[in-house]
Amino acid sequence: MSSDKNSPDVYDEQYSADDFEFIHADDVLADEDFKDPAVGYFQDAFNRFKENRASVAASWIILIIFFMAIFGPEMNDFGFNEQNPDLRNMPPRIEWLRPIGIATGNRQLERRRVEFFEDEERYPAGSIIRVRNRLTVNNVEIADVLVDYYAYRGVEHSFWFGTDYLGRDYWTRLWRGSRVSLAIAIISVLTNLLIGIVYGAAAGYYGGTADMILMRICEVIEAFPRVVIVTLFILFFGTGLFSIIMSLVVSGWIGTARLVRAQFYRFKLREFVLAARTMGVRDSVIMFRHIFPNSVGPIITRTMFAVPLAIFTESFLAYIGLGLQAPEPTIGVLLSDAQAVLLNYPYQSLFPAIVISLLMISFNLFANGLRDALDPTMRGVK
Amino acid sequence: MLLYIRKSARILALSVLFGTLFLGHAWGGGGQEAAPAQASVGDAPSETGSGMLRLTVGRPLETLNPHQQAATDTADFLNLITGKLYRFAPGPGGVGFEILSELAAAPPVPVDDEGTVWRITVRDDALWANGEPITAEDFLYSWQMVMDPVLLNHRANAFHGSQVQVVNALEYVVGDVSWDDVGIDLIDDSTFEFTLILPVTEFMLMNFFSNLSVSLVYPPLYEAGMNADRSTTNYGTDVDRMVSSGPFMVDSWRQGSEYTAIKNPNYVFADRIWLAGVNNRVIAESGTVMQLFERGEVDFVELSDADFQRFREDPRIIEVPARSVQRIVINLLSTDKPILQDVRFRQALFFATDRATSASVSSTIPANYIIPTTHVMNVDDGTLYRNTPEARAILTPNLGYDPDLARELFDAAMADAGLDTLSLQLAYHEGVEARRAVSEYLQQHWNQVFGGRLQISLQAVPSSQLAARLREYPNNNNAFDLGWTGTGHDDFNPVSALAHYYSGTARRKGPYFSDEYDSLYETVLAMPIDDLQGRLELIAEAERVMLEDASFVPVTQGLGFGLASDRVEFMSDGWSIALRYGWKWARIVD
Repeated sequence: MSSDKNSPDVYDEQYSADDFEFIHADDVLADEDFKDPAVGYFQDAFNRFKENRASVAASWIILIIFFMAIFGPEMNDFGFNEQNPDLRNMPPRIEWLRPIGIATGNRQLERRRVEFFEDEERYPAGSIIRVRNRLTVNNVEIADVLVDYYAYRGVEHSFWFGTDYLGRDYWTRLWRGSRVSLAIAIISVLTNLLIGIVYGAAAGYYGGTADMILMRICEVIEAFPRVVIVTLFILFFGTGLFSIIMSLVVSGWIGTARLVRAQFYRFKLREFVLAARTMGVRDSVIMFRHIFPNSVGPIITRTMFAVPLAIFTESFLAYIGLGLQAPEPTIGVLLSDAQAVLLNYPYQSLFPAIVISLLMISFNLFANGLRDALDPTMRGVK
Repeated sequence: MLLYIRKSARILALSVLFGTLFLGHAWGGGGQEAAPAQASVGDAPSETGSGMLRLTVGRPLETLNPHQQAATDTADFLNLITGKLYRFAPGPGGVGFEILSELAAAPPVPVDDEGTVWRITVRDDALWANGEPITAEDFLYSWQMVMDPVLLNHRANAFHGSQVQVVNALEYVVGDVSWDDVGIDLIDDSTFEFTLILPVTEFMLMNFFSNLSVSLVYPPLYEAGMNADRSTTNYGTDVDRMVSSGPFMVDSWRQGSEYTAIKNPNYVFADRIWLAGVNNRVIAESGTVMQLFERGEVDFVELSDADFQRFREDPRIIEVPARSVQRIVINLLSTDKPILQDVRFRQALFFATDRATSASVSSTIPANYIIPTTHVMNVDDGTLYRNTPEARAILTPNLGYDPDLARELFDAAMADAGLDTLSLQLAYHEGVEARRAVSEYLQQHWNQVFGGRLQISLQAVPSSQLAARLREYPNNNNAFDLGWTGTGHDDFNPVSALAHYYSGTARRKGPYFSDEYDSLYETVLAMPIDDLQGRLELIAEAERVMLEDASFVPVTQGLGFGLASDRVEFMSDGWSIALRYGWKWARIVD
């Protein structure tokens, strides 16, 4: 046996319990109890998120749009597919905004024959507001005439955001479309999240050959252009929610997988993982109970960035004719339809454009705020 | 006299009738305005013409080779620069149209009594744009090349794909016979003799030879452009690889963006061409074209439905009726949905279709018929098929809309099939706004008419894919439930509108089988071509049989709108069959 003086046996031989005394046994300890409750990781993140005014404002806007997407279509008497072919493309009219010249329900009819202006069957009394740009073309006198379009068409009730090409209420269709767009985005993002986390965790945790194979598969999948993928889905499954969501999912999870993989590489050799492994904890438990929680911050941030991207992608697909099946609206479908009549009925582009812009900006600001709040290294950074 | 005078009187009558009918009857209602002001033809055109007509096209020019052209825009341009035996032109005084013997010396001459052997003499004073004389050999070469079994041109069916079918033309194209066996013979230096399979009239033959696919190519360059195995030629792939022979000649072609033709001083009727040239810019975006038109930079813009609503009272607006009826094909072979085989169910859909509203949401013409309004029954007096008592008699009242009868038929069919509700899919052309609007309207309207028992789901499908689905029935009985289609036909031959439904016709869009119909079609084809009344009665009867069977639900007939600049003065009194607005004959009045 060695005579190492630092071995416990040596201490036992040199000291006994009586050699020690509690020197501060009767003193008041200098440390004090925490008077405030302990602040956890997420509480700390929330506290810091609240300090970011832009992100807070963005979260309120998102909440309002969510509220309108859920309840907006029920706020008037029209259904999203309730057609009225006699009232096609009515302009927006909101009574309480009319006095300030917004959503007045007026429309300028261009190049109308002056000879008909006195005909009350064509222009009911009081419908003509202003006549201008009189000119003669091919010996016919024509002019632009500003009319109260509701009086002109003999309509009493107001369409707040106007109507579309089949006389459907645009307010109802806009919020219904927002609901569908958000649903597509959320479903596809959650699906991407699920696939990405499992795939990335496996690649990152096991590493080596498994990681190499899994990542090469990612690269192969990623190599297919999205438009080709969505076209194939539409070819085989027809247009619809399934095809759109699948086209967003097929390669959409790869970014999340890479992020999770990187996080797993970062944490898998830490002591707490080694300890768990030493204790005989199963791989799946180590992956999702011990390592994964350390990746939650970046994943949440990425998810928040992915939602507006999914909405934008859906809109893009709708814009190139690969959108949801008629008559179901989405923001992208509404924008695609409206683009064709942009110069004639600009309000049909304006409202969905505002909603999608607000969604994009708000989700990005919200995600920025989350990223800063969830990153402990950003503490104290203004 | 160069002009085809002999027909002038009857064509004048025809033209007056067209002017009245087209502008007053079908398309002129609802407050539409009269045609553009008739030209006041004064001074003769100068040698180089005056004023450039500025047009836009949606797609780039494909080729300058008339044997290869496929797109309408390309055909429109080639029609300006390519010489033909006969050509439609504005009629005397700008009323209607007449047929000019352009590169032919005179109208065709019948050789036999049946109307299957004809002779046409080529004029001896016609020139290519480069000044060389146009000869009968040039025509012979052009026709041989268009049918060449090795070249396999896009227009190889030129001499066998229509009512005018030259003996052994098809056999030559597929390589079964030699050129000497084809029924086109040059019997002297300038006269051809054509031997046809089916009898035709003089007018039909002139109409046929006004087609682009049987027009001229310049033999030296066509031959010089051949590859080693003569399977392709680069003729018409550039300005320097072709020679013009029509009213205009190619001046420039910036591939993909712009192309221009200028007046051809060597053209036989150069004294009737006022324009200095025609410029085409390739602009796909309709909004851009509208902006250019409003800024006065182009002379014509096609109007979307929204633009039409905006300009509907503008006196410059012009209308162009479509040559086909848009109809919904019902898959009567479906085994997944056997109720589609029940004629009562199909008739229920026919009578449940509100065509007036369908037309209003798509700015088209309601159509409860199969043969469109553009078909001429009698060329001599201009009688339109749809205006004949026989054709009117087969039409159902109220544009075929009878919801009570529809419900009755629907309930009976559903009861026999043991169904309470039914779901069907309606496929429509992706990107065609009018078709989608009507589809969405009918989806809801049919559902309402049938008390919620018929659910229609819509599917947007690319045009080519939709056509393929409709044609898939010989191999797949369930390729579709309902699908839109529309097919154009020869305006001067209403029988051509029936051919599509004949069971012997290849590549039909959708199944339709009727022994009675086939028998009527075969009978009308075999009838003497001049038995107008007999043909009319059989055509009407065939259409009635088809409508009663309701394998197709006709809904609308297309209607195009455009705005023409007031600097353009048309030489005709409005739109007419074959001539349309006759842009090439117009003049600029800056």
